Amino acid sequence: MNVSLDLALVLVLVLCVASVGTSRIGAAIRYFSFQAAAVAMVPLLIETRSGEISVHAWVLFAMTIVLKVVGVPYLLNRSVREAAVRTEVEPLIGFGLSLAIGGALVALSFALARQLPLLQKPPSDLLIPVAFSLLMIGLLLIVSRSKAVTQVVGYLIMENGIFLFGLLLLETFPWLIEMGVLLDLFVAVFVMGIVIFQINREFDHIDSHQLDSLKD
Amino acid sequence: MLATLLLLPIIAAAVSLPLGSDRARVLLFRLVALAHLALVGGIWWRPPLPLFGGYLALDAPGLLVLSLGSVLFAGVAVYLGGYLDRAEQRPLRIFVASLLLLEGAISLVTACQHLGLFWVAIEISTLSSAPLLYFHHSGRALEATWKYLIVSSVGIALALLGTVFLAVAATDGSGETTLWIRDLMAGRALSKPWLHASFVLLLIGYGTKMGLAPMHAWKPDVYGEAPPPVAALLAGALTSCAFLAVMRITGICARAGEAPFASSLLVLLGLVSMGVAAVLIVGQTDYRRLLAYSSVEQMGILVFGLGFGIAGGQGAFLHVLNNALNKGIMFLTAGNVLQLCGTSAMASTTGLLRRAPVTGVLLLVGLFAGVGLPPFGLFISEFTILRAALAGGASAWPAVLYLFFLAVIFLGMCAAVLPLAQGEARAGELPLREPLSTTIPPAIFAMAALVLGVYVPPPLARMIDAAARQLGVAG
Repeated sequence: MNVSLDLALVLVLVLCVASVGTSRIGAAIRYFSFQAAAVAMVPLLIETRSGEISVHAWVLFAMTIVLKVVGVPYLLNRSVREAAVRTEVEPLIGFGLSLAIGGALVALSFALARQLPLLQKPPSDLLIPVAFSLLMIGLLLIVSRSKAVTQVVGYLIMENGIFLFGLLLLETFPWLIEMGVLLDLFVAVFVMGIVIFQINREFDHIDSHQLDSLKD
Repeated sequence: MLATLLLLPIIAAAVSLPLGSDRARVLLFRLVALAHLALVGGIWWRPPLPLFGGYLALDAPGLLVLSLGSVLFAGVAVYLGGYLDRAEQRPLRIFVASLLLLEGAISLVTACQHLGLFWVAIEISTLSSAPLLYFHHSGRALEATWKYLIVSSVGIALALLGTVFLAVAATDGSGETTLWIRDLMAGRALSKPWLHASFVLLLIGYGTKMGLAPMHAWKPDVYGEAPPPVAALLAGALTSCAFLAVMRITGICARAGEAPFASSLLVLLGLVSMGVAAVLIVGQTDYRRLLAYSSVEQMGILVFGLGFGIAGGQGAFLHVLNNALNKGIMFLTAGNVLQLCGTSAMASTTGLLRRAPVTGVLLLVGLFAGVGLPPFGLFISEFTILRAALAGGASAWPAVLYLFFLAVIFLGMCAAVLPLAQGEARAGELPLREPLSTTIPPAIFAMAALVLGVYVPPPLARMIDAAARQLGVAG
């Protein structure tokens, strides 16, 4: 059963790297949605190793599917449609270079994961390195892309990384908190979507790097 | 009692949405803010029972931050009517609902006894403050809102990661873990590498929310573009919530025997913030951006104070109260200046003492209180922190740098603000009208700042002492 867990994690990582390499915003959102679906499978796969799948894991799975696989991509696609942007025109760091940096970050993640000892063996040796990779690649997207929507995708990828870390604590984390976190994330994206729409109306583009009249 | 306090603003937010007129909405906000203040007063009288099996309860640090938030909201609520009458007319439906939601979120933050729930509450406070920034619907306001959202969101995401790391650090041999503040403070064995990583992430994450340098990039833009009463709430109450977060994790580190590790980072970050503020305050041309850098400085002083154990903590808690009052005076007065002169660019707002005497005097009081002149409260708290730094630090260097930055900021602030008050009014400019509702709240804050500088009432002193004890080793 461990094989399918590892496969899911590898899939998450590949989809994450793919969203760094693409220039089309629609594709980046689609990759994120697939990635969220793979991430949603992980708690179920972790629990199938020990037999019973708890209600907790099912609820987590359902919430992730509803909010991250369907809800968030829908909101993002809508703001892309309304803002009529298709491609990331001038990223601060070129796509080739971003991919190279992304690869380096993945390597760094594997090195970093060895530095943090765990009392209990994690469900998969890939869990922590993949979580670190999502975190760092998400940050890379936020700082290196100029379209507000791509920055939000970066933020969401980061959030998925944190979700994977959270799965280390699957059995002991209170539900209430997890639901709160997921709902907050959803509302955050909702608010960001509104702001993106307003940016577009005000400036006729959603290029956040042209938002630079405020500086010292 | 606690339930009423937490639910009141949230229910009021829901009620305010279908109301017919904006006037009624502002009135509702006033009533709720004053009722909230009365309830908080009642809590000082009689401590409330915990709710939901202890998830929500008020301890000393929580009560202090709740009280300053409630005072600030009440002042802003009184001020808002007069301010909005003269501001550009905008529909207030979302604005008032967001204000009420923000008050609810801030109250919730102060009552959370579980770090996961705490994170959720902080995130709600960020999201409910975003619509407030966009009130004027200008391109610049939009830019500030976007920066605020994306920078705070990344900060808060790092804080969530830090929270998860802390739970991993607290995992014991049987796989059980906890994020209850009382468990973590009770000397539970924590895995050192995970605790260190967690402290760094939480400090960066919540430090972004506080606006510590070098994570302060959003602050001048947001405080410079937000309506001044909103900026007063952000600079006084919301940053204090983030301070509460940093204080809680510092306490957890101290109880786990990692006080030196936490202290070194807190002192470093505090000094960097003060240094960056000192450099950028000098030569600032916009009054509200000047105040934003002053806020970066005050946040630096707060974490610097947290780095020196119980004694420094006492100074920091006194300072957080004084800073909230001071930001109340300064931003509300900035709102008056903005409405009287139509700009907060300092070159065109000189001679206020002659043109608008009340605002001019308040401006001077805010300045003197803000740079820490006696007899105002900030002098006492800055001095307490200095004493703790000299007594508790291994070397005198942090204290020396602290004094040096305070001196530079003192000169920079005075050089910038004094001409606003004094200076010659330009020929042909008439005296300006100042409605009472926009001058009384900052005047009351000024009196309170003065009182706290001369006399700290014994119940408050006891509460500050109890709060600071959470920063020491168990005992």
